Amino acid sequence: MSDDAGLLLTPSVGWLLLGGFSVLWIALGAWWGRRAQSLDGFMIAGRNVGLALGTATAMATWVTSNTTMLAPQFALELGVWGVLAYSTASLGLLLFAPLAARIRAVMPNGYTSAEFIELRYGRPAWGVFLVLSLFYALTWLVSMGMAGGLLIEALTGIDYRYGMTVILAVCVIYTVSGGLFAVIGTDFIQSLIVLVGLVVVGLLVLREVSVEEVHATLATERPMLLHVMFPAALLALFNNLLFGLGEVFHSNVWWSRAFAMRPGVGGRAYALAALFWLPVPVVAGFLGLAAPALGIGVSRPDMVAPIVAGTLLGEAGAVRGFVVVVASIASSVDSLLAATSDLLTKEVVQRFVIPGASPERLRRIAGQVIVGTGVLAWLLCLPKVGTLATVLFFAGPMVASMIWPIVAGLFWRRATGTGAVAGMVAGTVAGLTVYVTIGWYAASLAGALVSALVVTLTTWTSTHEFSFETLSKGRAV
Amino acid sequence: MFPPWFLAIAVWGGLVLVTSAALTLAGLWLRDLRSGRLW
Repeated sequence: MSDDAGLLLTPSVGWLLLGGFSVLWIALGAWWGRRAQSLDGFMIAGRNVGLALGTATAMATWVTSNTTMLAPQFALELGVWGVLAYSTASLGLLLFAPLAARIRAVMPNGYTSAEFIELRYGRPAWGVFLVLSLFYALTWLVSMGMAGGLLIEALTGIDYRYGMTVILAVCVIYTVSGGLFAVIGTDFIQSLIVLVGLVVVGLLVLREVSVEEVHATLATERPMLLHVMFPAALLALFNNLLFGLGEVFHSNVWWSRAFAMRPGVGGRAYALAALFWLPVPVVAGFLGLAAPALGIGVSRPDMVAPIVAGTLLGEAGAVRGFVVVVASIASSVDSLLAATSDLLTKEVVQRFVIPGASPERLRRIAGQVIVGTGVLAWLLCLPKVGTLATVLFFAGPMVASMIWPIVAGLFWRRATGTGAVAGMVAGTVAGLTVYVTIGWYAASLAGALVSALVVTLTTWTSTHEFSFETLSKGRAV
Repeated sequence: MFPPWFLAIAVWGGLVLVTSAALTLAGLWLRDLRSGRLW
C-alpha cells in the first residue's frame, strides 16, 4: 500500500497500470482495425456479430463506472433499496431485446436511431431527437471521462487532468483505429475483467465479515439503510428503472449494436446481457454496505469498491479494484465515442456538410469525428463540474421522455410525428421542472409519465396509418 | 427492516449469478470461435 496519505497506490504504480492498459487496448484496436476498412465495418462491425460478442458488448457497455462506482454509493446513501433500485436498470436491456430484434428486421441497412426517427416521424421529430440524443451522449461521455480522472486521482494521486486525458486519449485512439470492431472486441475482455474482479473482491469481503455481521452493524449504526419503507430510495427505484429504459431505448449506443448483430442474435444477446448484468450492482453495492462492518471509513462514497478492495488486500487488492473500474469506464467511453461519431457523421456531415460523400470518405470522416468528439469531451471534463450522479441524472428526464416515442414508433402504426415531438418536449420540460423543484430521484419518473400520456393520447386519437415497409428502404440522402 | 436472510440471499445469489455470467460468456465465446461465428 502507498505511503502517501490516503492513497491506495503510488503514482508510479498508477502510471504503470495506465501504461499497460493503454498499450493493450491500442494494440487490440489496431488488430481489429484490419476488419474495419469499409464504412459498414467501421460503424456497424460488418452487421454479423455473433451471440458471445453481442452479449458481452451489451453487458459491458451497461456496466459503466456508474455501476461499479455509483452502485456502492447508492448502497451507502439509500441502503438495500438503493442496490435493488440500481439493479432494475437491467430491465432496460431486457425490454430492449424484442426491440433489437424488431430494429434489425425492419431496418436491415440502418445505421442510427435518428435515422429511424426521421423515417418514422419526419424531420421535426428527428431534430428534437437528435438534440436530446447528442446532449445525453455527451453528458454520459463527460461523466465517464470525469469518473476516470477522479478515480485515478483518488487512488494514485495522479493529477485529475492527466488521468482523465489518458483515459479519453486511449479510448479515442483504439476506437479510431478499429471502429465498432475494436469497441466490441475490447468490450468482451472488459466484461470478463469486471465480472471476475467483482467476484474476487466480493469473496474477499465475505472472508473478512459475514453477511449477518454486515446486517448487525447496519442495524446498529445506520438502520435507515435497512428500512423497507425508505421514500427517497423507493422513488429512486422507479427513477432508475425509467432512466435505464429511456437510455437504452433511444441511444445510438444500443441501436448501433442492434444493427451490428447478425439476424436472430439481437433479441437473445440483449436478454442474456440483462440477466448477466442484473447481479452486478448487487455485488458492487454490497461492498458499500459492508464498509461500516469492516471498519472502513469512506470519505468518497463513489470510491467504495477500490477502497474496500485496497484495504482488505493491500496493493494487490487496490490494483484489482482499479483495473475493474478503469475497464468499466473504458467500455462505456469507447461505445459513446463510436455511437456519437456515427450520429454526427450520418446525421449532420452526410446530410448537411458533404451530401455526396462516398462511403470511403465517410469512413475517414467518422474517424475524424471521433477525435473531435474526444477533444470536446476533454474540454468539458477539464473544469471538473458536479458529481457523477448530478451530471448524469440531469439528463435522466430527457431520455425517459423518449421511451414512448420509440416504442410507439416501432410497434404502433397510428403513432404520429406530432405526438412524438410533443411527448419528447413535454416530458423533458416536466422532468426538468421536477429535477429542480423536487430532486433527481423523481425527475425521470415525471418525464416518462408525461411523455407516455401525450404519446398514447395522440396515438389513440389519430387516423394516420404508417407503413413499416418504408423503413427498410432507408432514406434518400 | 430487511431481515439478515434477505441480504444473505441477495449477496450470495449475486455472487453465484456473476460467476455464472463470466463462465457462460467464456463458453459462448469458445462455441462461436469454433464454429467461426464470432463476427
